[in-house]
Amino acid sequence: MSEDFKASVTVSRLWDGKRVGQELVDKIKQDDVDPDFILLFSTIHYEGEFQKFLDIVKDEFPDAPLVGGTVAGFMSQQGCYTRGVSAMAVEYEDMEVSYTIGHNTKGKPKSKAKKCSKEIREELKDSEHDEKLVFMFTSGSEMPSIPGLGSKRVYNSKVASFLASKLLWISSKLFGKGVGKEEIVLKNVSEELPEFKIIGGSTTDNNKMASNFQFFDKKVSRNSLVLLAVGINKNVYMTSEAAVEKTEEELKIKKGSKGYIIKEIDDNYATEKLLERFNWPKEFLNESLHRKTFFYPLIFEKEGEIFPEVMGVIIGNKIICGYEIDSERLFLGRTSGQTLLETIDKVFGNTEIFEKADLNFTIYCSALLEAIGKDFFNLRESITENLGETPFLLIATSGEDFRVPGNIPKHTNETINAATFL
Amino acid sequence: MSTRSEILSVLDDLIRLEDVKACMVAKKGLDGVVPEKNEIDDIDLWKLIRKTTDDFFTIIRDFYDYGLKSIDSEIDDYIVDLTVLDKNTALIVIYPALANRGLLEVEIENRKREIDEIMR
Repeated sequence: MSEDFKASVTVSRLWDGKRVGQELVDKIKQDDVDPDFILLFSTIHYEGEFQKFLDIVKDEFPDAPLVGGTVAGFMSQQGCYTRGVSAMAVEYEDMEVSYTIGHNTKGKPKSKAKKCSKEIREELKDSEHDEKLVFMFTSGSEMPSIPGLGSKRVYNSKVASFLASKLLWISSKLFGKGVGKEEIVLKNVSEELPEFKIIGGSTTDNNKMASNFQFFDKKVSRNSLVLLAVGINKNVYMTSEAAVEKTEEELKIKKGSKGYIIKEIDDNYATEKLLERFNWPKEFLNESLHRKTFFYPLIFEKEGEIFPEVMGVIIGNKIICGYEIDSERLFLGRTSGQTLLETIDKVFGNTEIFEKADLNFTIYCSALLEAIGKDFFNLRESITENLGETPFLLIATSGEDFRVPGNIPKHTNETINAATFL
Repeated sequence: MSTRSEILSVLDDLIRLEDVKACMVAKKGLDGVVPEKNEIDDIDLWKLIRKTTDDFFTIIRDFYDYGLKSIDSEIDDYIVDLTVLDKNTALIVIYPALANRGLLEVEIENRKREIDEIMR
C-alpha cells in the first residue's frame, strides 16, 4: 500500500449497537487510519441498533463523511457474513470528498438524482484531480404488505393479484414502498456527472424485500439516495462482469404501462408462457419460485451490453422485474456456481493490476448470494488468491450500478462490479 | 469456559436469527448441546425429526470417510439441515422451508467453522 494511502476494512459480529460501534472504531484506530471518509454497511438484523453504532462511529470521527446502508451480506479479508456490520475507512491527503443525500427516490427519482449530483458537482468543481469516483447507494425495491396476506413474491389468486398490483403502484406514491427506480437515479447521476466513474448498489434486507435503510452520517433514512464522491490523486480501476450466460432462447415481450412489468410473452399471458418456456409445472408458482428464477435471469441487450433482470414478483399473469426493461426482446439467461467462479476470475484475474492494488471495493448481487449459499466461501478463496492481503470489502445488494465515462450507465442484477484503488 | 458452554454460546448466537427455529449440536437420538430458545413446540414434529435424523446419522457414519459434508431434508414446513462435524456429531439447524436458504447457509457455515475450532 502507498505510504500515504491508508484503508481499514472492519467487521463487527456483536449484536448490541453500542458495542458494534465501539468495535468498528477500535479496529479502525488499530489500523492507524484517521478516516477522510467511511462507507458503512449493516445487515437488516440490526434494525433498532443502527442509530447506536452510527452515533459512536461519527462521534469518534466527526470530520469523516459517512454513507452506506443495509445489505444482504458482505465479504472481506476477515470472512463471509450474512449477519453483521462492516465499515471501510479511507485516509488519503491527496483527495477531496463530497457527499449528499436525497429523499423520496421512489417518488421523484429523476429530480432527487439531479439535485444530489449538482451538489456534488458544485462542491468538487475546484478539484484538480482527474480521477473522480462516486459511490452511490439507493433504496432498493420494497414489496408492500397486503393486510391479511403479508408481503409475498407470488400472488396467484385473482383477488390477491388485483390488490397487489394496485397497492404496488399506490404505495410508491403514498408510503415510499414499491419498485426502486434505481435505473432512473443512475441515468440522471451519470448525465449530471459525466466525468465521474460510478459504482453503487441498491440497499436491501435479507432478500425478503420488506424494508431497507440508507445511512448518512448519523441519519438513518428510507426511500433515499446517498452519494459520496471523491476527486483523488490515484487511479481507480473499474471492472464489471455479468455472472450469467446469455442463451439464444429469445422471448418477444409486451410490457405493461410501467416498463418493468412483462404483460405478455410471445403473444400469450406472461406467467403462463414463462412456465411453458422453462418447461416448469404450475406448482412451481409458490414462494420459493425465486430460488429457481435466480438461476435463470431474463436478459436484454443495449448498445452491445447485456442487462440481466431478476424476476422479482409474479402478480397473476404479470411478471414484475427489478428495473425497467429497455427492449421488446429478451433472452433467457442462466447462471451456476461455476459461472460465478469464472466471473470472479474475470473481475479479479488481471494480476498486474491487482498486485498494485491498495484497496478494492466490490458490489455483488444479493440474488447470486442467495443462489450459491455457502459456496460464497469458495468465491472468497478465489478473490483472496488474486488480491493477496490487500484490504477489500464486497457487499451484496439487490441491484448494481456501474458507469465509466464514455460508456452507458448500467443498473443491472446478477453482476459483479469492482473499483480498485491503485 | 467448558467446550459445552462454548458450543452453547455459538448456538445461542445462531438461534437469534429470525429464520432459525431450532438448532443443536447433537449425536444420534438428538443427544447433545441444545440452546434454551427453541421455537418448535410440536412434540409429534420433534419425534419425526428425531426418527429421521437417526437414519441420517447412520448415513453420516457410513459416508463420512467419502467426504460427506451435509444432509438436509424437508419435513412438514421445515428444512432440517445437518452439517457434519465428525463421524457421530452434526450441527442440526431447523428453519422454514420458505426461508432464504442461501443467506442462512453462510451463517450456518460460519457457526460450523467456530464449532470445529472449539471441538479441535
